[in-house]
Amino acid sequence: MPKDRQPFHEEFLHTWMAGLAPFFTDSLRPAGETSSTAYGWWREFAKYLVPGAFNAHAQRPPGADFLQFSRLLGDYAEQYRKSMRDTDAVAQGLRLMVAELRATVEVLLEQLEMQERNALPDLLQSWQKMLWGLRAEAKTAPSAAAAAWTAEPLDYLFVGPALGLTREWELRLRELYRKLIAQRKASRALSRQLLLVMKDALERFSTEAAREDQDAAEITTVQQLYDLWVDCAEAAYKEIVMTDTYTQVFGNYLNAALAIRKDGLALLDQVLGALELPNRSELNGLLAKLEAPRQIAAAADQQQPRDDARLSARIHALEAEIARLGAEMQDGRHKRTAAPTKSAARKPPVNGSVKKPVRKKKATSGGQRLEFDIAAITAERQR
Amino acid sequence: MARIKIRPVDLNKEVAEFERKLARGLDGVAQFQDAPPGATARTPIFRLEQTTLYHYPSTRVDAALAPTLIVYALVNRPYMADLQEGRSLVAGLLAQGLDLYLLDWGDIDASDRHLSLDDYLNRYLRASIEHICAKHGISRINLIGICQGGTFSACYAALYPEQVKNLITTVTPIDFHTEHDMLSHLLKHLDLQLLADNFGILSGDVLNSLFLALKPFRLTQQKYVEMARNLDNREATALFMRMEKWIFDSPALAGRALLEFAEQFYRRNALISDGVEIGGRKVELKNIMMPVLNIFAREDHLVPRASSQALARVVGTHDYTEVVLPGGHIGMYVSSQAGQRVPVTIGEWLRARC
Repeated sequence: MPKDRQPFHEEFLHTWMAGLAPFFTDSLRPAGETSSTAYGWWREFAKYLVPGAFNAHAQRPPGADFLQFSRLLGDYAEQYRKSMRDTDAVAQGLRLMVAELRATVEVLLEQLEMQERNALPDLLQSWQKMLWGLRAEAKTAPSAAAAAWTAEPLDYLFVGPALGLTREWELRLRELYRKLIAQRKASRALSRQLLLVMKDALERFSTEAAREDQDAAEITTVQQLYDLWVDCAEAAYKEIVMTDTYTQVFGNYLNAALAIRKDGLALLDQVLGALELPNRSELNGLLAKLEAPRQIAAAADQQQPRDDARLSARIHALEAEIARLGAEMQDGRHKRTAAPTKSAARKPPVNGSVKKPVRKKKATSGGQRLEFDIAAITAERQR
Repeated sequence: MARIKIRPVDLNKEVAEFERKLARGLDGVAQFQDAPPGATARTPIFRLEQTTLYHYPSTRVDAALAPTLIVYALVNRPYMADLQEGRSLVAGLLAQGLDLYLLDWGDIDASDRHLSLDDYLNRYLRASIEHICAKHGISRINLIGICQGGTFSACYAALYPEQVKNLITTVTPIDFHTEHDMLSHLLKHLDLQLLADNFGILSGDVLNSLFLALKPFRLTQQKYVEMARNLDNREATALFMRMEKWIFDSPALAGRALLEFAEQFYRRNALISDGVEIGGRKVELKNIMMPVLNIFAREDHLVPRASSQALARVVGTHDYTEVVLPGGHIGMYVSSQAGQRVPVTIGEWLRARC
C-alpha cells in the first residue's frame, strides 16, 4: 500500500468513500435503472469513483476518478439539453422519480422488518461492516467475524447476577441498556409509520397527478406541482396520525425516549454525587424545601390583594356617593331659596338614585342608609 | 401524470426566477432578523414574581366600557397580539375605545418548577385583575382570553364570576376530545408523569416540536419555500420574520402546571364535565352567567372549531354569541382581513353590553 505516494486528503477521501459505499449500497438498494433521485446519482457516482478505492487506487493517476465523474455530469447535461425540446419530459421524469421513491420506501420498510426480527445483531453487524469497510483491506473483511456478532455475547453479559462492589452501578447500566433496546424498537415502529405516510403520500400524488377529470386543473408550474405534493403528503400524514395505531406508536416512542433520559440523568447525578459536585437531584431537594414556605407566602399574598381591591372599590363608591349627596344638598338649598311648593317638597327626589319609597331606618355608616336619612330629614324640615 | 403540463422551458424560467429572488432577497431578510416585538406603546403597572401587567395608554378610551384585560397562553409570548403596525389586535382594540391591559406570564427558570395552575390563575391572574379593579375603583372587568389564555379566562370567570363583566374567548379549546383534535390525539399515550419527572420545566422547543408535528410538510418545508417566493415583498418578509421569531421564541413551562393542564384538560377532558380543580376549587363553567363572546377560526388546525364551540353547551349564561372568522389559529389575528375583524367584532359586542 504505497501510502507515501498519496497526498493525505486523497487517501482520506478514497478510504472514506470505500467505507461509505457498502453502507449506502446496503441502505438504499437499487430500485430501477433511473438516476432521477439522490440514490440514483449516488449509484452513478459510486460506479465511477468508488471502484478506485477498492481496486488499487494508488495505480491510477490522482484525480482520474473525479475527471471521469465530471464527464458523466457533462453527459447528463447534454441529455437534459436535448430533453428541453420534449414537452413531456417533465412528466416522464416525474413518473420515474415517483416510481423510484416508492421502490425506495418499500426497501426501507423491508429493512425495518428485517431489523425487527433480530435487532441488536443487525445493528452491530451494520456498524461492523462499515468499520471494516473503512480499512484498506475492505474486500477481505471477514464475514465470519460479522456473523459471530449475535445477540448472545451481550445476553450472556446480562444473564448472570450482578455481584460485588459495582453491582448497583451495573444494575443501573443494565436497565439503561434494556431501555435503549426498547427505544430502538419504538423508534423503528415510528419510522415504519412515517414510511407508510410516505408510501401513501406517493400513491396519492400519483393518483392526483394522473387525474383527467374536469375538476383537476392542469399543473403548469413547479409551484403548483410542489403544492400538490404537500397537499397529498399532509392528507396522508393526517389520516395515518389520527389512527389508534399511530397514537400508540408515537406515545411508545416518546415514553421510551423519556425513560432513557430519566435513567441517564439519574446515572449522571450519581456520578456527580460521587465527585461531590452539585447535581439535579440535590437542586430539586433544595427547591422542594423552599416550596413549602413559598406556598405559605403565596397564600398570604392571595388574601392581601383581594382585601385591597375590595376596600379600594368601597372607598371609590363612598367617594362617589358623598359627591352625589353633596350635589343633592346643594341642589336642595337652591330649591329652598326658590321657595318650593309643598307638594314638591313632599315628593322624594325624582332624579338621582333614590327611587324607592322613603322609609325610616336607623342611621348607620353605610352609603345607602345615609342617603335615606338625609332624604327623610329634608322632608321633615319641609313639613 | 396527465395533469402535469410543465414545459421544460417554463420550468427553467421558474427555477431561475426562484434563484434570482433567493439571491436578491436573502440579504434583505437579515434586517428583519431581530425586529423588536410589539408595535404599541405600553407601560408596566404591576409585577408579581415573573409576571407583568401592562397597560396600553390611550386617548380614545370609551368611558362606558369597562377596562379589558388580555390573557394569553403560557406556551407562546403575548406579543403576538401586537405583532406589528397594521397587524395588531391591541391597536385594533384601542381604536375601539377599550381601556386595555395585557398580562405577560414572563419567563421562568428551573427554580419555578413548582408553579401550578393555582399559581397562574388564583395568584397571578387574580392579582392582576384585582389591581385593575382597585385602580379604577370597580369590581368587574372584561376578559379577553386567547387560545389557552381563553381556557384560563373561562376557568377564572367560573371561579370568580363577580369579577368578570364580559368574557371573550378567542380560538379557545374547551372540549379537548373532539374528532379532529390532532394534538390531543398525539398525547393520548404519553406518560405524563414520566414527562414531569424528566422536565421540572419544559423548554419551549419541546412543545414547538410537537406543534410542528401537526403539519410537518407545511410547517417545516412549504412555508419556507413560500417565504422564498415572497422575498421581493418587503412587507410580507417582515411579517414572516416576526412570526418566525414569535413562533420559536417560546418561554419554558413549569412542569407541574403543564402536568396539571395535560392531565385534567387533555387527558381527562374534565373541563366540560366540571371535573377540573384548580387550587382545591372546582371549576364549574355553568357559573359563567356573564355575557360571553366566543370567536374561533374556520381553519384552525390547533384548536378545532368543535372544541371552541363546546363552550356554548357548558356555560350558564343565556347571552352567548359565537363568531366564526376565516383563517387559521394565528392568521385570525395577523391576516390583513380577519385581523381587522376581530377587534371590530369585540368592540361592537362590548358596546352593546355597556
